[in-house]
Amino acid sequence: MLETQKEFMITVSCIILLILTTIFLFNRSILVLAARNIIKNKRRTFILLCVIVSGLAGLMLFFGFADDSLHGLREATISSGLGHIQVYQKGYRAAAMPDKINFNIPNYREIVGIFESDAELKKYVKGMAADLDMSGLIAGHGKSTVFVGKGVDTQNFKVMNAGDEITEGKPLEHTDVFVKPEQKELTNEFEEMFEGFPVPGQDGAEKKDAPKDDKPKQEIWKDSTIEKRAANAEAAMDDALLGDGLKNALNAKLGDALTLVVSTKSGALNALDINVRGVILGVETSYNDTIVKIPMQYAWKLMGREDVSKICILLHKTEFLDLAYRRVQELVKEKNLNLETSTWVEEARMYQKVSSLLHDIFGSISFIIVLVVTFSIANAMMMSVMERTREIGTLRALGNTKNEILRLFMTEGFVIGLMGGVLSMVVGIAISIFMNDVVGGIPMAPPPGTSKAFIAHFRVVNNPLIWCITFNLAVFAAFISSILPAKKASNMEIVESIRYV
Amino acid sequence: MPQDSSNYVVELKDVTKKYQLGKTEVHALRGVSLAIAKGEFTTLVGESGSGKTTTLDIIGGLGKPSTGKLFIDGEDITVYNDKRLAYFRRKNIGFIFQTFNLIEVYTAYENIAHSLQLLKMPEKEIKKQVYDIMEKIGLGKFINHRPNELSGGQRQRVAIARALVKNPKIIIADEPTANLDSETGANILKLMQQLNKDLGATFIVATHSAQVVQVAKRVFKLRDGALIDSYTNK
Ligand SMILES: Nc1ncnc2c1ncn2[C@@H]1O[C@H](COP(=O)(O)OP(=O)(O)O)[C@@H](O)[C@H]1O
Ligand SMILES: [Mg+2]
Repeated sequence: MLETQKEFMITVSCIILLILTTIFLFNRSILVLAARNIIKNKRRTFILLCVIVSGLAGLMLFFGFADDSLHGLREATISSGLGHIQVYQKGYRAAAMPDKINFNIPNYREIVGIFESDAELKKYVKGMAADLDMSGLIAGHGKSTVFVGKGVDTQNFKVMNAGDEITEGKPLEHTDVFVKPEQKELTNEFEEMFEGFPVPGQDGAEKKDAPKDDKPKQEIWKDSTIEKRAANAEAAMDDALLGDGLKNALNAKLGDALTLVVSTKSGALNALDINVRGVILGVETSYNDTIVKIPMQYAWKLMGREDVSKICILLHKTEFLDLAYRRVQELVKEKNLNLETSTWVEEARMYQKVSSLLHDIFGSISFIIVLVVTFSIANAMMMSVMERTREIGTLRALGNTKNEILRLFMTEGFVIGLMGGVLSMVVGIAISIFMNDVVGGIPMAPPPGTSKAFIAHFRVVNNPLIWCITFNLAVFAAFISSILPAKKASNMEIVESIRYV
Repeated sequence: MPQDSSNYVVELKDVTKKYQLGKTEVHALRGVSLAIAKGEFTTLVGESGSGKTTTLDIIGGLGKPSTGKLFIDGEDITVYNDKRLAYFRRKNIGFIFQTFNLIEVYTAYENIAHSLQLLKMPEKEIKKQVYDIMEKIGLGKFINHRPNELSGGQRQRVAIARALVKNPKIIIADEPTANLDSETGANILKLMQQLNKDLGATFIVATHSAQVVQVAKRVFKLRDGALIDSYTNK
């Protein structure tokens, strides 16, 4: 949820609460009577508070859990190179997949310059990077599969892609060095290591024999040494990062040379070799199964063009999004740039799905909880009304109006709601702190469509929106459920109720 | 509207009351006409089911007659709506019930003060009045006691104080001594007599008690929902 929406929710509920408070807590004698009855009917009050707290503290924890999952997914999505704000050439987003390339941004340095030199935007922006989308075939070890690639800005790479976990190797570095994959295979380092031994690969016969003689050595040679070397290698232009799933599909290893095949601007096929520098693990399974990230210059070489698909802007905090986005839109308008913009939410389809799923679940669960709580309160209030028939009749005989009787019971409901709301928050926060800090969170399997197991925490403490929702639902439920009993109380026949035993 | 009502505080004119009990109609009152003068200690007597309670309810503005008119101080209150009747009661009528009917969660003080709070009297004034009347009924020590900490007689005293503290035109008491032992009942009766004298409030008491009938100024006798006799004691 956006910051402005949160603020709006909180403000509105505070206003409603304030109005209810003035209506119900203003009449002192009714309030005293209500309070006395709440204190006197200890059992009823206790049961009601238990119902409210168990329902709403549970809801609060569930919300905190869902929010934590979403928060994690959100930050991971944003920091997988997407950034918070994306800027495209006008028409790019509406274009069909194969045509998108016709809407690339040619003058992206100029645009980045405009954004970078804006004083207001500067306050929010952590990093900016352009990327070039591409897709095609990736081949190696006699296998091939499709890939979804990105030519990335190596200068800002680490900042923009912090959400990609590097499971093997190293991230991309900024470099102009171009080393052919073949050249890498014979380095001094390698030869020093195997000094005195027959070097595999130099002679066909020996290569065959060596592994048979000494298997452990082969293990070292294959799995440790080369990868270690590859991991420590100088950065090069043809370095690439592979998604974890893609790596497995191709049986690729660090330092492997793989081939990317794409169709270029002119429609011809073009191929280039890449060198596996690292393996990355993002959140989404589909991302991990297809992603290849290579330096922009190399991507240009591959694609035979020198433009970018979009410019991604990463902010210091997601909370800055509204302000920063407004400023970007203003700049686009002011400078009359032929650009369109989007925020990360629009691009994060996985996030949208998970978010809407969680919202639906949360919505139905809270509906059920509020329903159960409401009925429980209504039931207890109704019993209380019956028990107090004589008191009601007496008050009416003494000259209290129907409306005052109505308000008496509504006030009781409201006050119980206030108490339940506060208690629910306290209990919910206490449990969340216990679960997060003492238990250390709950280990969870990867959610559907994602690749990462995670530890679930309850984002409750620093989450005023959750407090607000919990508190309001408690008051709302208690308030709603006291309407009917209060109506019944106020409509009692006086002459019958004063003599009720 | 005001008729020949100059010194009558209550006037019933041909009042009937029907209750629908399933298919059968119960005629609780069959055309009762009576008038009660200001400050009179009045009793309604008659067997159980003769219509005493029904009459008191109508006079006190708790229930409406099926037909007929009721004038309080010359004003027809049968035309009042619910809210207006509530305001009428809080100002003009003090109720004393057979079962005392104190508010359980209120102290003796608060029970009495409630009558005055309804009249929007300032707290300071309320305090003075309540302390005064608590002394008068001899319960000064029990001011902060809850009803369940008081005996039956003490509760009825608090109830009497609650009815009288607002200085109403009419005090309505439905068998006020029926739930008390005879000695306590006699004391309560004495207290009511005394307050009737001191404050000049009109008492209308429904009773079975011969004691009460003896001390009453005026007696109305009901049978089967009809007034069969009325007389004034010397
Ligand atoms: N709510 C009611 N529904 C039906 N009948 C009633 C109701 N209240 C009183 N009655 C009937 O009206 C008659 C008069 O009752 P009541 O005024 O209570 O007499 P009393 O107070 O003299 O004993 C009785 O026959 C009683 O059964
Ligand atoms: Mg009776």
